[in-house]
Amino acid sequence: MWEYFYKFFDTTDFPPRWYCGYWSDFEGWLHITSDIATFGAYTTIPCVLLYFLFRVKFIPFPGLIGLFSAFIFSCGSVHLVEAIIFWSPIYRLSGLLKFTTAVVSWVTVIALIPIVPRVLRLRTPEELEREIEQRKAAELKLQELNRNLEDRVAEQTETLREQATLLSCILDSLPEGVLVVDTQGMVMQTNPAVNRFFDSRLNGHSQETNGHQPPAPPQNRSRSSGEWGLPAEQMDLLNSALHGERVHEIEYLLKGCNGTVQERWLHSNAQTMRDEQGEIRGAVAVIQDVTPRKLAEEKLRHSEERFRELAEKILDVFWVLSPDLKSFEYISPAISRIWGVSAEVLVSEPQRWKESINQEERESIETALEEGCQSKSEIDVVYSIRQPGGQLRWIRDRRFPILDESSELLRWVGVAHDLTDLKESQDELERSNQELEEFAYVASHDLKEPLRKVWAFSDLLSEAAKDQLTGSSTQYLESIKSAVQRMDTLITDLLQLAQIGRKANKFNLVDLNEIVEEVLQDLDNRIQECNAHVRVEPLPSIPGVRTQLYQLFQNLISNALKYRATDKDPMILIQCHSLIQGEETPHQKYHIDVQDNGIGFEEKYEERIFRIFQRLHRRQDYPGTGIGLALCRKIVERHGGTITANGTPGEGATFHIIFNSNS
Amino acid sequence: MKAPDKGPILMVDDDAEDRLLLSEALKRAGIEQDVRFVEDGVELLEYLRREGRFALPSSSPRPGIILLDLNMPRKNGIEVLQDIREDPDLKLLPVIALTTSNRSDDIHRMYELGVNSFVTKRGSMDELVMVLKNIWNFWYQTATLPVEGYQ
Repeated sequence: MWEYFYKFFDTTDFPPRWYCGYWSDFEGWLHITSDIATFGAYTTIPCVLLYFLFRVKFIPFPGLIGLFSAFIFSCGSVHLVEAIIFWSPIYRLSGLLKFTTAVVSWVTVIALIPIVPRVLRLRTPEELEREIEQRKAAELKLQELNRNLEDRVAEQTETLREQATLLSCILDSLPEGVLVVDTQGMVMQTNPAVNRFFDSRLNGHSQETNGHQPPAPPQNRSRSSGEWGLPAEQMDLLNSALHGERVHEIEYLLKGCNGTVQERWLHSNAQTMRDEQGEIRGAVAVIQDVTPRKLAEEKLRHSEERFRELAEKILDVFWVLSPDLKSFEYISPAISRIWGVSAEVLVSEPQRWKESINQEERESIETALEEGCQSKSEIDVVYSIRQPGGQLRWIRDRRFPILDESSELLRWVGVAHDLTDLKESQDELERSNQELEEFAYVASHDLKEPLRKVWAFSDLLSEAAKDQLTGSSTQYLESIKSAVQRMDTLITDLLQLAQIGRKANKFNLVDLNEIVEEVLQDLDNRIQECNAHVRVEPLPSIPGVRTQLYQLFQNLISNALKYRATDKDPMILIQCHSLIQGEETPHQKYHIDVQDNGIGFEEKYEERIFRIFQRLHRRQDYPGTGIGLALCRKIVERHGGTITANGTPGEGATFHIIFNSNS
Repeated sequence: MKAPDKGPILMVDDDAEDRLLLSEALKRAGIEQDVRFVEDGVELLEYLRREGRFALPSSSPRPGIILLDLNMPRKNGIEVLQDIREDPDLKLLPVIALTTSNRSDDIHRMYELGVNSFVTKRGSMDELVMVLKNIWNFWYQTATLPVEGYQ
């Protein structure tokens, strides 16, 4: 082996190829030129390949190309050596070159074999072109898809934004506060209402901790619910929601800070927020300001309390009844004092109140109630009841219908007033009035007795002693008789006055036209005498006592004649104005004027003329007892009316009578 | 003037002055009929029933009419009229109320009890005379009185 490398370039052991065999020049040079040409080509190819390899990136299998270059180059060098061997037999070098070529070739083969399948996969240019086309198409499609996707994303973003806007719009406009916290209790979202509820408190809070300079969080989001100044009740509620406890509601009073801010009543509920897997993600609290409702409730409670105080303290019975008056919705406790039956008993047995009413009155009361129910108008009845103990009580029972807007009867409210005391004193008064009248009557009757005798005996005396009497004695006797006569008239008038209120006088409907007609007929002589003109306008009919109404007009008209002016004919006008225009109603009022053109009177005497025994003129000028107008007033008042007068001296007087037609 | 077949006028009045005036008026009216006076309701019944000082029939002849005052002590006009109307022996006697009262209560009550008429006395003598004349004229000259077995 050493010998081989030692004699590597030694050409002595072998003849040059030219001298080995018989080479024609042509044959020899064919080999030589071909080998050199081949060597030239085999050297150029690797150079080109290597050039490509360096210049063009992404050439497939660059290693293999290197190997090919080496393999071609070593083949080329073998050919060159073959040409040189014609002159210099360097076979040992040639052998080594061939060996090298063989190794490189096999290496190449070994390298080539695993590549075969990959090389097989290498595409032809057509294939590549097609593939490029496909890729382009795919790319286009991809781009389109991309665009679609972007559109959709944009669309969804828009939708999301709209939803977010909508949500915030809703949240902003909600009067309820909304507060969202995460699992750590950090405030994630709020709305203005919540801020409003707690801001004042927050401000107050920061004032309280002034000096400590609490970190002012830039956003609500980053504040924990504690920092938010939520009251303990609200925190507890959120905490229980964060622990997945069932939703519940609370109501609490949010105290103002430093006494400057109004207290607020808040109502809140909280709900656990979970994701799709059911994991707790946070909690939402909805908070409502229920201050107005609370205040209203408070007010209601107050007014209810006041009503109860009123209803329960007052001795009258207050009750609320059903529209048909058949059952009680409320009865005040006074019922047990007045009826002797408890409110509870009456509520469960409503007919009991009726059973207490005296038998004779019951039917008429029931009728009155039914009528009230039908006409939906106020009921005002008086009846007597007997308590279970047998005690008699007088009741004034007034019931007022409560109607809705469409005049439907909703219920009745009523007051039952115990009239017993009043009734007793009224009876007493009536009795004593009766007695007084009796007394006045008897007294005046008894007063008349001696008068009558004075009168009669004066008569007898003047006859019997006719011849003995001097002129003045006769005069005295005449004076006695005239005084007696006046006294007699006075007593008669007083008697009339005393009789006006007497119960025996029953009220009937009286046509005032007839009354005045009668008066005028009875006064006809005097009317003729003083040439009076009397005009009577149509007058109404009113309930009253005929004889008294006659007396009234008789007095007024004869007054008008009596107090006539000396310089003109008396004119008397009697007219009536209905104070309520239109149809005649049960509550009609009539205003009747009796007007004259007589001597009249001074304004300051307007009241005095109606007083008993009051006279404005001397008896010589205008005779009379001074009872006439007092009688008129008493008659009008007895008829539930009023009488007034006004006058002007020298011009006349007018008497105004106002009658209620339902009196 | 006298109607002999009819009984006396029986006047019931507690007041002496009234009785005097009535006598005077009767005189002036020219009524000569027998007139008896009793002073109140109790006496009237005693007279009619012939009790006490009226036990003798001669002292108490059956009256033709009774003129009855109302206001009297012991037994007033209304009460005594009631007694008369309830008494089967006396109930037919004509009774005329002659009184100063003109009270409607009294008038009603008296007519209810069956008074034959109700006359209110006036103040003057002339009026009284006229009233008595009228009464006498009617009851003694015009009307027929019931006749009973009273004598």
